Amino acid sequence: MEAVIQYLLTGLSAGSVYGLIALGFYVMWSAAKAVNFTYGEMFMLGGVLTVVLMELGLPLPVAALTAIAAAALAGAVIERVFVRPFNQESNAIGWMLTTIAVGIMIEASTTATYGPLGRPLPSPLAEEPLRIGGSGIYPQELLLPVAAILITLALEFFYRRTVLGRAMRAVSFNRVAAGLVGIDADRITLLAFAMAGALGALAGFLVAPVIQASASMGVIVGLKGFMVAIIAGIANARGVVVVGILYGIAEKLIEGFLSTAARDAIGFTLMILLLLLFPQGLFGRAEVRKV
Amino acid sequence: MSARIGFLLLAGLAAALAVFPWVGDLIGERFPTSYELRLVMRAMILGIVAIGLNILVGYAGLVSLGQAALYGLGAHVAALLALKAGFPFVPALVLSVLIPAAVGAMLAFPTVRVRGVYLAVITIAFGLVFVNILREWVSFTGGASGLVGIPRPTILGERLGATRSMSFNYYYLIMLFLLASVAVQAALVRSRYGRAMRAAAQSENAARALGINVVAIRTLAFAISAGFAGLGGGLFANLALFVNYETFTFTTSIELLLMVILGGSGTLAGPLVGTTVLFSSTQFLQGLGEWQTFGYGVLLALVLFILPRGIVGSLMRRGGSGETSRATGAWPNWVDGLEPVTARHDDAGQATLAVRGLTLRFGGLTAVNDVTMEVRAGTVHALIGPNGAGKSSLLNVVSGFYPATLGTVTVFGETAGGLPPYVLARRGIARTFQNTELFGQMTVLENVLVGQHPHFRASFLETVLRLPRFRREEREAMAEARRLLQFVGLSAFADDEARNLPFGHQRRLEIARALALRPKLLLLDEPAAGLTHGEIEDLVALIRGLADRGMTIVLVEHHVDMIMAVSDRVTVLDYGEVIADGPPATIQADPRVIEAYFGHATLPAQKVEA
Amino acid sequence: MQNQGFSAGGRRLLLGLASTIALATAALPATAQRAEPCIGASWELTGALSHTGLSIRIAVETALDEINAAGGVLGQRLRLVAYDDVGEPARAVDNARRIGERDNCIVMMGGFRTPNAIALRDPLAEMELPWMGVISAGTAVIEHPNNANKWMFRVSMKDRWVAPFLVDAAKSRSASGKIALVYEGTAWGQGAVPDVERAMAAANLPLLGKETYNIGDQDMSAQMIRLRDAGVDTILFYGVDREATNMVRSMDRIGWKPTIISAWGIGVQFARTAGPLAEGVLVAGTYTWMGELPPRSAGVLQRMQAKFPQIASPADIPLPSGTANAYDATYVIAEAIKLAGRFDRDAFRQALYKVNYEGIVANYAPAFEPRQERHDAILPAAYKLFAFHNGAMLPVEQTPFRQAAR
Repeated sequence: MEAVIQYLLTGLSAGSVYGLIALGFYVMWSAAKAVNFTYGEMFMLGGVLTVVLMELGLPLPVAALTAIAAAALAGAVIERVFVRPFNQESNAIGWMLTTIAVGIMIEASTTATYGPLGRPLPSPLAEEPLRIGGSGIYPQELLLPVAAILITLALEFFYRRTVLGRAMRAVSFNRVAAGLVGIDADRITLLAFAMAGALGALAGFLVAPVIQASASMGVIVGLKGFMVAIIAGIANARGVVVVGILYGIAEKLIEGFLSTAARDAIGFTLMILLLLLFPQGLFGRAEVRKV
Repeated sequence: MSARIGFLLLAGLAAALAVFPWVGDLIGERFPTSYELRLVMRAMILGIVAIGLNILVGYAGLVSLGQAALYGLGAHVAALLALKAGFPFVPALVLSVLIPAAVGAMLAFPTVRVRGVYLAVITIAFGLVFVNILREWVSFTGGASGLVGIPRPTILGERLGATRSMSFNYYYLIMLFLLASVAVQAALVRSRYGRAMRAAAQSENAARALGINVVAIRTLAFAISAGFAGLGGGLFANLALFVNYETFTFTTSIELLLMVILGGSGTLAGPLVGTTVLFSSTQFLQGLGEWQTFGYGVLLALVLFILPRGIVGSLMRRGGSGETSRATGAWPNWVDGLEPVTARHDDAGQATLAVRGLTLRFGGLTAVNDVTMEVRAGTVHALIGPNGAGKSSLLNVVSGFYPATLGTVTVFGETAGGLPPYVLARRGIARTFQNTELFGQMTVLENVLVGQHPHFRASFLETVLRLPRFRREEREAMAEARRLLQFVGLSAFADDEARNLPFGHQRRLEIARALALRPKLLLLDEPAAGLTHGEIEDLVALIRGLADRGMTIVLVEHHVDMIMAVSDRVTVLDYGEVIADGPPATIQADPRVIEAYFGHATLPAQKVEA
Repeated sequence: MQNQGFSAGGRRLLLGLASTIALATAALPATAQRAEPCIGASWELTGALSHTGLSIRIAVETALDEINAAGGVLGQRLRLVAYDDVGEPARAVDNARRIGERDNCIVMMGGFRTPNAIALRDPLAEMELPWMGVISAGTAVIEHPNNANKWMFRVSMKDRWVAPFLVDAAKSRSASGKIALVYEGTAWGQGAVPDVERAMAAANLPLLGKETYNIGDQDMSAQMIRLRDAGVDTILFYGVDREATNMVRSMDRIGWKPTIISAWGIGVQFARTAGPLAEGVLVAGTYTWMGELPPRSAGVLQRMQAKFPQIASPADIPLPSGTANAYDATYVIAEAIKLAGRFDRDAFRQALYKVNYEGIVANYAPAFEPRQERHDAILPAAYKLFAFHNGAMLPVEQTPFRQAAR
């Protein structure tokens, strides 16, 4: 029984990472119907840049905020240069491949300069674990679900109660119509990608003290986060976070009771099956296409 | 790029490849060593896989980012059969083609439900699952170490290898397979299969309406491309004599896709060009040391920015013909030889189409409400009503695009309810669409040829091997397609891309394409919309002419003049219900009709301009 | 062959005979052909494992500088031709062919990954190119089926010998005798399992658990819980720094601190990333450059640091054992060439069995023997145990962990 509690705890923290990443995808997809396949690298930059800046002497909060800002900027640049020109056609190949290319470039340049090894990001919340019976979790890890919930609520508030947020929702429903009522859809999309970049970097920064900041920490997380977003239906914020957390827990349970080695195989197969059963996602809405 | 130039280039490539192993003898140097030879052999193998991927991505329009897994599956099948079951080379190779082809066919299933980036994600996940299985199933696949010591392949006792002592026989075998792959790709593309794949990619609805089973053709595309990948894998396993999961990761899938795109996806020469260029670039990139992966990303980005159509695609674009004024023929042009299309021998007076109590609901919206209508054979039956009355919805139910909520549809005496559009199309129902759904990137002639898809009888094998029956059918189909183009006056535009046609011509093409199906029942959805006055008169003549020759036509239209001139019977819908049904003259005077259209009961008869 | 009648079989026989003669006559000059005075290498110079390539390169280049300064071999400078394989077996094979046929080097050195070495088996035999491993420790690298290994040699640890060494250390330190194995899901990790099982059986100990994880896994709590609940107090570990760090963190979460005895995948980086949790972790290896060094090694370290400024301190040598192995291997190669008397691969191979050399890792007397099992130069007697103490990786005798904890 203790084991299950541990799985729930670690699953909660890992799942919150997926959820945060998925939130970023949700923000981008709503605004542009396209995403940033480099997104895992924003996550990585959150951790790696903070470490580098701290090594250069900046105090932790300043380093972290700078890293997050840099990721936001990167998100915006990627949208403007690599996504927007390729989002005209209905074929998704264009922006998928360009963002994959950028992701490769970011990871490769980081490996070449920062090195392939991970470096620690010290944090007082990652030193002593909280013990619950025979299970434990670092307080740092609890920051993640807390962050996920707070950010979800903040996003919902933003979308419903602020002018800018409502403009974003308008763009996500009907880009052309939003333009007709005076909303600069392009700028909104840019902002969305910047927001998402910041979100990803925040997640990376929060989890780096636990798993170390390394150049390759973003690849698989980005992919899983995207799949989580799609399975959830990429249609609403709560949905993606919930599915992210559930997937994190499911992974741990699979590891615990079935097989560690086959965890990803089983997990991805599960995702494929879910997508086949619910092509519009678990929380998505079925679209009836006019013939 | 004309076929002749392409053929010459291919012959040149084949000659260069054939001579390559012997270059050292000619120039007296130790070149190529086994290192260079094996590089070229690997490049040829990747070329085979790229050709398969090109069929899937470039022609069928299905993005797969998991092709490396199928390549790896072929390699492992060949390796395992040789290593653990003692299979000889040829049977193992055959299975290394067939098993991935079967798995590839299964991958097509998701396309029924998801498309675009969702499908890509599924293929990525598939690739990751495959690698995971390879890496962890230690007892079977050797786990992370892979399978080593694969026995050297032999055919009929002859050992195969890439050394001089074996006369480079394996090198030439691979080359042979490469050339065969090129031939198969060309044969496939220039046949109804290739046309159907492209059609399904460019307009799924139109493809369905022309009798193409889109799921089946996509499954075929996946299976074929997986077969090519498996062949490459089998050849690779027998070359490297060592396989492990690392050769078949997501990165490899990206590389393969890049080869296809760089060369020019959807072109015949593209995969070969792309493979050659990318392979050479990778060798060059290795010189960048730590920055080689970065350089690779830059290369990928550059290709996408500068050459989105790929090398061959960009070259073909430039070779496009300029705007020369072309003679548009008059239409309808009742040339000889149209009888197979136009002649129908149904019992006149019998109902071709009978709709009873048809209701169609979308959630809370009732689009069609308890409609009963009968269309008699050989007549022109018009369906009119204000916007939103449910006319197009009714057409969509009849042609199988929407399932009816209640009621029945009977066509040619048989129930049609619940049947998918392609089945109904094959039974003889053709239709046009409100927004012309042409296959924009296919030529005018090809568009018409797609309409003939269900009429071909040659089997897959006959098609790929270009046997006589296939050739004969293609010839006849071409001839008939050209006659149809003559019929609609578009002969001079046969080789233009459909999307470049002026709007009126597009309408004509859509009709010609629908007629290519040799329908017994033709559904026209607002064919006059956007046509000039003169064009409408031609259209009326066409419709009347077809009906006189026995075709049954259902016409959804707004142009009242046209309706009156051409119809035998008119059904009027309003808010999804039938409010009038009868001969045109009666309808014109019906107060309910006038009220529905104009809002009040009486109106002096007026000519309504288009 | 097949019973296809004389004519077909006879023809084939004739063809085979003719081509054999042709090959033999063509090959004769090849074996008598000079090889070049170069050491080829396929290392992980870039990518995720670039730190392993670095560890090897600093040693080999330093050793070559010394050897060439002292006159080279047979009057010639011995060069290094190093290629990058990014850890991919296919690239390693390509590089081997380049080295064997284009560059025509007399010997090729190997790198970190075991699958890369295994993939080279057939190509090396086909080209008759000697190969010297310096890190990849998988048993199967050197011990081929049917005793077929002729050309592959290694100056490094051998997993089949590492396992009893670890088991021995575990046995003397485990209070309850409850020992388990944790290994990474790679060729090296998976390949170690039978070695460990055999060693445990030989020591009359049951292996209480076998847990694995994937490279890149960030949490091993599931595995740790299972082991803790089985009462395990000592873990044998086959993995590298990053996952080792995540593993000790997982242990920390659940409040479990077993003794960890690791095969030498863990390097000095572990101390940095695991911080205080690294304290007391034991690692097998052949060498450490930290702590008190004998004078000769101190000199080597000095020269390495002078040539490679990124090695500011011994803590910057990611895989200390690999560095030492590579240094000794370079000298063994030089000795063998001298003993062979000419740049000829087969003569070189034969000469390897006659090399006697005192290296920094061990005294090789002789380095190799003409049986497959002894194509490994470093014998178990030279294996050492290191411990992490106060952020450094020191010989266990120089730490509080030298005594078996009871």
